[in-house]
Amino acid sequence: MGPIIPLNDISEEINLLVAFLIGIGFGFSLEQAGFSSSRKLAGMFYGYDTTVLKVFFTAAITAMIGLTLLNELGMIDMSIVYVNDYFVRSAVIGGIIMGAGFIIGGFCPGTSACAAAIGKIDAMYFLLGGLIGIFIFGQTFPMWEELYMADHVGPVKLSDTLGIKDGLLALIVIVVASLMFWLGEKAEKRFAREDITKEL
Amino acid sequence: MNPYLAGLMLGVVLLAAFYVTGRGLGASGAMKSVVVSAVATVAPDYAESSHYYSKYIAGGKNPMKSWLVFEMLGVLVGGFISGSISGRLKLKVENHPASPTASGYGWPSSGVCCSGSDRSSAGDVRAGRRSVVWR
Repeated sequence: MGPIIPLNDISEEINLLVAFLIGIGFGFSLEQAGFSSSRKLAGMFYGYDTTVLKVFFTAAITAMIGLTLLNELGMIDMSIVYVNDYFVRSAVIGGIIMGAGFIIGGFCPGTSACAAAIGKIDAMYFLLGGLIGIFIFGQTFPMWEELYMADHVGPVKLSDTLGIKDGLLALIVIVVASLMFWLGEKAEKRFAREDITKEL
Repeated sequence: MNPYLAGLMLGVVLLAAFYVTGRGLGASGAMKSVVVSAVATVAPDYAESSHYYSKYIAGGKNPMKSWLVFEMLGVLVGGFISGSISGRLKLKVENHPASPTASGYGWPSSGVCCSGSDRSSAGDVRAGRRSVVWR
């Protein structure tokens, strides 16, 4: 019965060790997908490389199907699984900033760590920039606090907001994702940049 | 690696994270912990009285002893392992094929957050264009 660690009162140290092992899997998968290359990542926005779309949607569908099945089989207690609190304004503004950062810098926090691990200097600068940005946020926090805490709607799930069952939402997501994959493949042909992609 | 296969692998890792630990993957929370720890180490009294930093160090807790920090350490190791078995370990700056190899990838020292270099976007990058990102 999952989730294993919270339900079995396992020690914090084991939890942190598991986090480390999962992180290894995470970093390994990201790097194997080619996300240690800022050119590949930025390609998502120019259209010549839609790997980001394919990898992340496939990962989301895999985990989603897995969780839906485990839930249906009574093998996981979803009420214990951590769902992030949703603060609408922060999520939208943060998303916009992150999107801009992604295309400007060619990374996002997780991929920059994975790229820095293989020696990419631009990734190291990206991480440094991120740390500086967080520091500036912390130092100027009173200016942002009200915006930061606005529109708190709690840990909501899309299926609850739409009033449909989890399984139906999963199906809809799979259909949408399949459509996106098809569009992605078409975009790669339309916006191809062989001078860049042959090196990736 | 085929992106769909890589996505499947990542999805399995994500599912395992949920099933074993009850939470998903993340990254920027670990960066926040690094900043909080640094501030608390350099200026502990300031950190304790600060509205933002104090909640992460309240009760003497160590922000570095957190799930995301350990996960990010794992990401560094995992990325390194993958890079070494694929022959992608190389200290370099990734830039646009047409841009000059001049210096100046970012201004971290100017105190303004520059996420990565101005040549990471592989479109029409002209040397000298600077980008500023706050995150």
